[in-house]
Amino acid sequence: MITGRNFANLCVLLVEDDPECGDFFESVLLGEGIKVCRSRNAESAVEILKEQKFDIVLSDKNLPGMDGIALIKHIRGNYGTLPVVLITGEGTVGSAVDAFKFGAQDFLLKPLDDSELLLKTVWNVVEQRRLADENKMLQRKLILAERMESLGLLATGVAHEINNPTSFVLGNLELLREDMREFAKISEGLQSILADVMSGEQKEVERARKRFEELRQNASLRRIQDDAVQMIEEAIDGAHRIRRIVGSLRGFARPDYETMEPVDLNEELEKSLTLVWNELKYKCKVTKELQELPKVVGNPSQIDQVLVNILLNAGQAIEQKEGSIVIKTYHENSRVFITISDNGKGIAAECMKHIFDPFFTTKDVGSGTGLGLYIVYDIVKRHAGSIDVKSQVGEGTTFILAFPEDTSHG
Amino acid sequence: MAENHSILCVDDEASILKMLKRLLEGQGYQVFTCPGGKEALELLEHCHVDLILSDQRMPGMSGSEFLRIVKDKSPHVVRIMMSGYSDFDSLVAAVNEGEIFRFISKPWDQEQFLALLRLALAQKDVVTSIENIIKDVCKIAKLVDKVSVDAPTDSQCLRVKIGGEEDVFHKNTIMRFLNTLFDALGLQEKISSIAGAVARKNGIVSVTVDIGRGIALKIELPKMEE
Repeated sequence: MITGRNFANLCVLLVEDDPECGDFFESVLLGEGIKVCRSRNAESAVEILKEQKFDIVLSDKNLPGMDGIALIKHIRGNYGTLPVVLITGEGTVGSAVDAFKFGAQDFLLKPLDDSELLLKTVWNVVEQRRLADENKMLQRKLILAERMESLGLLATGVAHEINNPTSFVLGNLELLREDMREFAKISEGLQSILADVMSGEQKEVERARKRFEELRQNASLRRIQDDAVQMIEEAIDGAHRIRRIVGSLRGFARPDYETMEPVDLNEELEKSLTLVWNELKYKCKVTKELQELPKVVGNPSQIDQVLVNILLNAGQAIEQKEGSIVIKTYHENSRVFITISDNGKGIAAECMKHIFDPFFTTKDVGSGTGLGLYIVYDIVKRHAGSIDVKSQVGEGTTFILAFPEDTSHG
Repeated sequence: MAENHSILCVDDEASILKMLKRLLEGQGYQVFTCPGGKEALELLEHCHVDLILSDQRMPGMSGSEFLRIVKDKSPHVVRIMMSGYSDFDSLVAAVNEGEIFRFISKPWDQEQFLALLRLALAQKDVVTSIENIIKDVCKIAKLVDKVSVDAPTDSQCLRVKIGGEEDVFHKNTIMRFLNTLFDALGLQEKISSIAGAVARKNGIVSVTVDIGRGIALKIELPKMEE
C-alpha cells in the first residue's frame, strides 16, 4: 500500500485484448481496492461506457476492430473530460505524441511490469482531473461572489431609484382617490342642479345657477378636469420605472451558472445602465450611440456583470465635474462590439499590464477586492470574446469588448 | 386653520415636485419648487419661506450641504429632509450638518407627512410669537441691547440670555423683568415651580420653564447684586 494516495471508490475501465497484460494490470489495480471493469475490445467498451460511470479509462492502442485512438475520439466526443491513458507497445516518441494529440492524458509502454508506474500514472491522471474540476467550480463561485459584491455597491442607489417613483405613484393616487370620492358628491350636486333647472321656477333656477357656480370652483373637479390625466400618466410612468429596475435587478442577481442563450447586447446594456444609473447620474453625462446588433451567444447575468463592472469603474474614475461616459455598439466581420469610454483619471502605463490580475486594485483598502476586472476578463473569455483597454492618464479610458455573432440560428 | 405658510420643495425629480405642489397647495400652503440647492438659494434671496422640504441626493449641491447653508443664513426656517436614499452616512450628515427638524424617508405615509408639516409649522409659530413677546418686553424694560434670544426651529428650547460678561444687574431689576415676561407669556402660575428648574453651570445661573406644547424657555441670568 502506498500511503498519501487514496484509491478507494475509483472505478477503472480497462480495454486490453492481451490477456497477460490485462491480468497484470487488473491485479495491481484490484490490489489497491480499485474497481476494475475489463473489456477485450473497443466496441464492447463503448457499450459498457453507456451503462457505467468511470473515473478513468486505460486502453490499449492496438485493438481488434476499432482501435484505441478511435475509442479516445469517441470518449472525447461523448464523455467530456473523462481521462484516458493509452497503452502502447510501440516505444516511439511518435506514438506518445499521437496519444496526447488524440486526447489521451498519458500513456504507458508495454511490456509493463512496474506496478508503481501504473499506479502513479493512474493517480496523477485522476488527481489532475479532480483538480481541474475543482478549479472550475471555484471559478464559478468567484464569479458569483464578485457579482454579489457589485450588488452591494448598487443596493442603496437602486433603493433610491425605486423609492423615488414610489413616492409620486402613491402621492398621485392618494390625491386622485380623494378626488374620486368627491366626484360622487359632485355628481349628486349636478343632478339636483338639473332638477332645479327643469322645474322652471325662478327661485329654483336661481339656486341652480348659484350651485353651479360653486361647483365650478370645486377643487377636486378642477383637478379632475385639468390635472388628473397628467397625474395618472406620471404614476404609470413611475410604475414602469420601478418595473424596469426590478427586472434588471432580478436578471443580475440570478445565481445562474452556465446557461448560454441568444442575447441582444443593447438590451443587456440598457439593463446594466438602469442598475448603475444612480451611481452615475450625479457625476457624469452618459451618451449612447447604439446600432442595431445581431445576437450573440451568452449568459445574460454574466454579461450584465461585465457591463456593470466596467460602468462602475468608469464612474469611479471620474473625479471632476463635467464627467462624461460614451457608450457605442456596432458590429462588423461577424463580431459585435461595445466600447465604453470615460474622461476620468485614466490608468497609468505601469498598471496597465496588471489590471486584469486578481486582487489588483488602485483603490483604498476596504473599497473593493480587486476582482472586478479579473472576473470581467474571465467571463469575456468564456464567451469566446475579447477585451481591450486604451487609456491616457488625465484624459480617460476606453474599454473595447468584442463577442462573436450567434451563427447557430438561421 | 389658516394655512398660509409657505413651503419650498427641493428635489431633482420633477414628478415629485409636481406631486408635492398638488398635495400641499391642496392643503392651503403657498408652494415654491426648485430642482436643486443652487436655484433654491437664489429663490431664498428674495422670497420668504416658513419651511423647506429637501431631498438629500441631488446633482451639484447635496441636500445636507444646502440645508447647512440655510441654517447659517436663516435659522428660523424649518428644515426637513426627505430621501429615498437609504444610506446611514448621508442620514448622519443631514442631521448633523443640516441640523434638521426631522428626516422623512420616501415613500411616506401621507397622513403622517401632513401631520408632521402641521406640527413643524405650529411649533415655528409658537416659537416666533414667544420670541416677539420677549422682544417687546425687552423694549419696555429698556433692555433691548442686553437680552439676546436664540430660537432655532429645530430644537424645542428657546435660550434667552440676559446681559454680557461685564454686566451686573440689580436683583430687583431682574425680578421685575422676569415678572413682566412671565405675565406676558401667561406663565404666572409657573413661577412657584421655578425653584426646581434653576441650574448653575460654568458660573451661569439659568432658569428653565416649560411653556407648553413641548417648548421650554431657558433664561440665563447675569451677575446680580443685592
